[in-house]
Amino acid sequence: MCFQQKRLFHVLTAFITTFASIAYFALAVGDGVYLKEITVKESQKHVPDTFQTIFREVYWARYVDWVVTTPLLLLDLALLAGLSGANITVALISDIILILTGLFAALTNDVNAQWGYYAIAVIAYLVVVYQLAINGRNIASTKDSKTATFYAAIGGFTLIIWTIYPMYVLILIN
Amino acid sequence: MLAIVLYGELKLVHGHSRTWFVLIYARVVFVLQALSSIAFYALAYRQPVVSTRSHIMRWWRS
Repeated sequence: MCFQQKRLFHVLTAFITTFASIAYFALAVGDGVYLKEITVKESQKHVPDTFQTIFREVYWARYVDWVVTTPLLLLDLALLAGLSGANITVALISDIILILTGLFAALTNDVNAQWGYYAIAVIAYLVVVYQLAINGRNIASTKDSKTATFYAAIGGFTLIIWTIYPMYVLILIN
Repeated sequence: MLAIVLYGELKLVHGHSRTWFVLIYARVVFVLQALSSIAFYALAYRQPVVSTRSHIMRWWRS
């Protein structure tokens, strides 16, 4: 790994932590939160229907954070593996689609729309997985063993953590 | 450590901002992220200066 790459990785990672720290600062001071109004109808047998209004917090600041930091994170991994420019572009755009559809799903009250956004997000996620786990690993395996092992370790860890999130969201939608 | 982070993140996904745990969690993570930023900037600028343009062009053509 040459010096210029090392420097690039450090700068990208510094950007990631900078954006993340701003987002957590917003959360720590109580900003970056949108209250989504949800009306729940309860049907009664002998009396008129009742309606209950509840507010659910949506942390839009986190999505703004992720739409910047996750592409940078992927760029770090892609450059480490040595992916081509076209493959990196596909991975980054898919990742942005993944985060934005997550935000739209969080903001909408329509359960059907949530499933639609979820489906789009899953497709985008699979594209990211394909680029990292298939293309990235193939190219990384042609490099020296230290780089290949390091890529497999941090790439695998990233994908495992990123898989927990959609599974948890799936539980929430249900 | 990982369990605390996972717990904090899942609380945030579920929408619990005003609990004492989440408020403290956000403050702690903010400080850690900010310190990490400084550390990574410092590490980055310890590397020698090279032309970024040639690197990007080589990467794009790869």
